[in-house]
Amino acid sequence: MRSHITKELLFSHFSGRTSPIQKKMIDEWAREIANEETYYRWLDEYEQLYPEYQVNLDGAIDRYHQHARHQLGTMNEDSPTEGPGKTKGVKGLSIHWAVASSVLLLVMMGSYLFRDRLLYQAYSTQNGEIKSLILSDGSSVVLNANSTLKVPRYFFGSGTRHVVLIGEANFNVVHTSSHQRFVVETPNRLDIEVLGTEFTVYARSRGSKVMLRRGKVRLNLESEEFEKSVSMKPGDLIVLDKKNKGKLSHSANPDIHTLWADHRFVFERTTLLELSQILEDNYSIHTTVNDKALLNLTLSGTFTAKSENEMLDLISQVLDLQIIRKKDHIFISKQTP
Amino acid sequence: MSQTPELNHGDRLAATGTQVINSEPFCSAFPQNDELFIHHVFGTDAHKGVELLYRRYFQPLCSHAVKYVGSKALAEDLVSEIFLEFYNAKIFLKINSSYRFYLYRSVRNRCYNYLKSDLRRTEYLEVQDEWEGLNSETPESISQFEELYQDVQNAVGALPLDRRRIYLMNRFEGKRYQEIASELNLSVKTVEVQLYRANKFIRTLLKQKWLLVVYGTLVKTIESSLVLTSFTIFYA
Repeated sequence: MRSHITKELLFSHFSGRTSPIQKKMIDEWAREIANEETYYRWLDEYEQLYPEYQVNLDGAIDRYHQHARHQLGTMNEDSPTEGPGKTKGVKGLSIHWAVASSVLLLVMMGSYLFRDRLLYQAYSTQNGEIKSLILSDGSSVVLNANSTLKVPRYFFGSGTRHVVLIGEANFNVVHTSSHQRFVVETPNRLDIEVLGTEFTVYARSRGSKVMLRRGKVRLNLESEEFEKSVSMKPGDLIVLDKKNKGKLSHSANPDIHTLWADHRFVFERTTLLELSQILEDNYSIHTTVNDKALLNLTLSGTFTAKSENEMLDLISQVLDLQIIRKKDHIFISKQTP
Repeated sequence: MSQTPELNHGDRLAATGTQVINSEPFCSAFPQNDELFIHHVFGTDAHKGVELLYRRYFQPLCSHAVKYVGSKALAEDLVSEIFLEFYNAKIFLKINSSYRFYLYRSVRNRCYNYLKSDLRRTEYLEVQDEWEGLNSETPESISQFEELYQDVQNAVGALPLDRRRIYLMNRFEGKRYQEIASELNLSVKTVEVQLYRANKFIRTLLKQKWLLVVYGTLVKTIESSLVLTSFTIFYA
């Protein structure tokens, strides 16, 4: 079988003309290191014979020389030590940026996530878990259940402070003396830009919501048809659907959107449907009802619920419903008298 | 002549993104004759040695990388990063294979991982696994690399011609929306929409096959239970 692996076969393979069986043959053959060496030798020959385009070799070598000359030994991205150990300072950072262009070009022009992988650290919460974090600039974040916050591994640096949120969180952002902006990016093509302020962001698959308590915030959002910027004042609330269409309103009671951090919930004629969404968002609990009309039942008042069971008890007692739970599924019906 | 490095293929190489599949030792005199000269230069001047590697391999490596990532600039930066790391981490002292082997393997691993995470980027449920580092899940069979970039090429090839032209101008050549709009006499909005559709098409096509089956199932399960739930809530 091995003798059937020829350069011609490999060339066909590189051109996409081999069958699955032939690929399997090649895979088995290449498991031996000596053959893998041959594989790359032929691959190299093929790439030289049929290049996709002509590179600017001299430019690349120049960049290499520049970097190698100024190499300070501090920019090796393989060493992920935490911030305070390295006193790079702003000056160190600017030499870094000016000279290590080949690395940073990759970071800047490459994919968003590629940059993430090198520089960001993720904090996540499970079902029902609430986590408080303090960022390197002193800003505090309370992360709601089933959410993730990505934060720079080192300091924020001297430019705009970026974090990424998937889920829901309360932010209390510190206003820095250098007036650095703070941007919360979300996977919903919505980002929130602030100077120093208190606000809540909700960004889940069902839609997005931003509530501003204090300060000033600018939302940048994108959808298939438009790109838009909206400014918010304290008390403003923006609710968006999956397509980033929505409206700006003023919330008379901003606490509704932030009290979850203390395991408290403020309900104002909140329907069972909305409650089921909260259960899903925060506890991954799926709800089924035996009568559609039940979904219109409403709940009002301020309640404390430290776990999903407390929440379920609350719902069943106040609304007089029977809730049967099977793992992460609940079945709601009217309480039989 | 050559200092035979201690490490065998089985040991982890210093560079991230390079995972060793085999653990057979490969000790012989320096394997590839055409690299003897470069190897010799590394003995006295590593800086010059890497430059020689650039001259010898930068072109074919970028040509290979661009098949995966579609962008000239990204391909060149990806490859440059590998050379830089090769120099900084003094990998030339530690490898026991040909330079070609190390470089091609690194490029392929990085391109593969780049594409995988780029596809995952919008699957927010998968967020947990993005931090496995560049060593995560490289394919077991060598032909999967070819299969990946051929799927990429085919996906681009399946675009309607006008859209493809705009896509290539943006992705391959790196032209901005405004440049493309001016050159083709279109509005920036049109360019935006065409690119949005092109990217969406390509990503959807690739995701079907290349996002891990496990996670594909996970996403499908959650999606289908969401659908089921909505159905139940609205129509029960």
